[in-house]
Amino acid sequence: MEPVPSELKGIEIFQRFLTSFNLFKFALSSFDTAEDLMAAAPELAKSMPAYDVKVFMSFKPDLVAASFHPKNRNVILKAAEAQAEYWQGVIDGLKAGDRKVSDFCFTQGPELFHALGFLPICTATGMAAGSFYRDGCEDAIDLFRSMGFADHYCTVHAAYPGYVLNGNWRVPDVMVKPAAPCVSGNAGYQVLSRKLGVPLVVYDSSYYLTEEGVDHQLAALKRAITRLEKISSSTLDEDVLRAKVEESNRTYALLGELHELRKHKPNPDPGLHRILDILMLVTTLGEPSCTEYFQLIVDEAQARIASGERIIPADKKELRAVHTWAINVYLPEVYHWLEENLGMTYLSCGLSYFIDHQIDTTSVDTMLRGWVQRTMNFPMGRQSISYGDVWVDDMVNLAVDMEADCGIFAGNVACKQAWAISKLMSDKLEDEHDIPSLRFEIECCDKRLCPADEFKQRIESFVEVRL
Amino acid sequence: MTAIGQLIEIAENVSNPFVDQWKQQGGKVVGYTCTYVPEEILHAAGLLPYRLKGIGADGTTRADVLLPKFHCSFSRTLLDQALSKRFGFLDGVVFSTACDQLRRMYDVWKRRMSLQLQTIMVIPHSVDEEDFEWFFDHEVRKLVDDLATSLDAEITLESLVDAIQIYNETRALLGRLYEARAADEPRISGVEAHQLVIAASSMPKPDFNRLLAEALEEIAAREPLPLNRRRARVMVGGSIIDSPDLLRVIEEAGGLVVTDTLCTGSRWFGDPVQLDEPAGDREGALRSVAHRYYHHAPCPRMIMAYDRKWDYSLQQARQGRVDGVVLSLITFCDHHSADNVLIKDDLEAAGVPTLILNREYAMSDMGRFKTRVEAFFERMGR
Repeated sequence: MEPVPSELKGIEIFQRFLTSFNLFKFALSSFDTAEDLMAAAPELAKSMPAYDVKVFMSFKPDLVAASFHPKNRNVILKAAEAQAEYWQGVIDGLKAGDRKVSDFCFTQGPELFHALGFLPICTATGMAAGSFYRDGCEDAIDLFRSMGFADHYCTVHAAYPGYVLNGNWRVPDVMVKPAAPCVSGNAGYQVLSRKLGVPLVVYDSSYYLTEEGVDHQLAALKRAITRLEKISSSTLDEDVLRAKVEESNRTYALLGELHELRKHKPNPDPGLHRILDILMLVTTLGEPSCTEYFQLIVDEAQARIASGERIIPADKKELRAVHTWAINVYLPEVYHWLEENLGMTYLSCGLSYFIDHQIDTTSVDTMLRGWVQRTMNFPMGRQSISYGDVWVDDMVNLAVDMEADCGIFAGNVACKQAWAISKLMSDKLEDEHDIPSLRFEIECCDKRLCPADEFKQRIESFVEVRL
Repeated sequence: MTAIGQLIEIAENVSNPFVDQWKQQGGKVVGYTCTYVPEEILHAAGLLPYRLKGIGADGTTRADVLLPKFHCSFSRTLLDQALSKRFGFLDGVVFSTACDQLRRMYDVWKRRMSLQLQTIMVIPHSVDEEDFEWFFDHEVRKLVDDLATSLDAEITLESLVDAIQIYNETRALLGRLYEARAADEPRISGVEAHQLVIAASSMPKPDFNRLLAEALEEIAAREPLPLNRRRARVMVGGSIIDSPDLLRVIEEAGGLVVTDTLCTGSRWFGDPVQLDEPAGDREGALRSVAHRYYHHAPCPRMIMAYDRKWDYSLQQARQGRVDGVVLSLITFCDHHSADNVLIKDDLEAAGVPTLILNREYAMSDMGRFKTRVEAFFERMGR
């Protein structure tokens, strides 16, 4: 892994994201097509800082090209604006050093950590490097593995410690997570805690998605909050929590709306956005920019339904796919490719299955309870921590409710629990609902296991043979 | 046959004459896989707790249809054994949420098998006392209810106190066995000692206690092991080991396995249940059992408990006066994958040479392991 220059020590990955989103902002607001951008690039490069040129050159060309497609560009521009602001805030916050930094696992929203006085950074954002850059985040994954940790460790949880250990990501003041979603996550945080002496606060996740289960997890969270307050040296600010939750309620209402809109035939919502949805939620949930982002997606989807505009070419019949595992992080542009080449739309998946979940803001207690419920039901967390029936039923219900033509299980090899479910799920889809499934192996943030061409070829063959 | 011989024969097979006899007498057998499942409660309910194992399994082809090849081979083997009816003597199973792979294997198991009792105990991931209280209030009580509902098995204060006393006797006897194997002049090999422990989880404890007491006398009457079998004193740890193949490799290379941190070894039987005198009520006795199981030497699954795991490893290594440690890892076992590396680094820093060996649950290619172990001994200068 490349050593981090001293001026970027602890912020390299954040600076790279900031520069990337600023470049996307500039490109999407200055050029009509990717071809125009590429034609102007040599001249532009002469006046750009060398670092920006380096970042620009690291982008995945297919992702850039897909971003310029009319169905994608407005939303990507909106995300880029919000993300640039967010990462600038992170870097400024780190430099100011007036708030303790809490790195948190992605199944939680950031609202609570703001209210506790932290500068919160979601560990899963490290994965974004896998989505945006040609070289991905495999260097960070490999660094972690080179210390002896197994290669069957989930790459979602291997990239983050790799970045921290290499100095691309500042050592936080605390790491906090629920026990969900998986063993890999828990172990990765434990490694960092042991190696770097970072306090680790883990609160138990309930196996039961019931009110009693909420009670258990809420009690565990409250004990965690006591620990976190000691670390941040401030008490939970009810007003901040309420303001953040009121805003995230508005966002969640839009998520519910979007979920319903995707049931429309043809699906009016492009699949390329899904990776950005998650990125926005784990970074900006509780901020107006997050609500505005989802408002734009909803508005565009509604406008398409009203006008009859499709997100797939006019000559393609829509193939509606439920992805029964999650978004493939290292290849988000493939969903655009599937739309354009196979007419396959992205209905939902185990990481984009959000429904409207409003939190009662009456008191701290009601807000924490609601926040816990959201955490328990956060996609992937919800399916991972409980009985397999939850996962199977969720995905089968989604497939039926959204009138899917197929299920695609591009499953993370490291995710043993998902793979055990995949057979049960595909059997149920096929036997009870006549919905065929494709199952094949990928690694979420590591393109080496199933490169882009292989990924496409597998789905193409499946469509040819089964659909 | 000697008591040692009888116990080793039990350890080398999935079923055994004691299980057969238990069934013939109308008894019910309940399988379990994990050190967090409180056996005393099963015993007190008149059931025979039996730790599921795959010794002698002929592969995992039936389970491989249902579980992927990167699911750990231990859980695939257990499912395969069930599908092939090698666990035909079971009336029920109590799994635990020990790890994602066993959890998900259970999700498949419960759809494919139809034993009278099929349940999973939820174990919180922290060692907080409050989480123990939840475990006791919800999971232990639920287990008691499940046993009554599914197997018509009731628990009384008397039966529970009796179980605690029997199991504490087992723990004490196994403690003596571990003292014997770790002696300066040991009279029992690590392979044999491990097999005696495995036998303990496969048969009624009163019978085991009687046989182990006899076995301890037989051990005391033996000559010390020859010096050429004591090239290095070794501790083993890491993923689950029931078949003694790995220990045999170590001992064939001239080492002697004198102790362990295995969930099928010291972490399983250590820490007796602390029972008040007099015992009080059933509730109190249940709580004592649950407390012992929840707070015993922790499994890697417990987070924010690394210090305890590390302390236990160091304590076992020091008590065993070991020259080196071999930590094994069943491929795809995430828990031990992380803990093994941390514990290895810390042991090495404490001056204890440590080797990590990757393996499958059912070991083959022994030559490769022997080469690694011999090289390890050479590195240690033994």
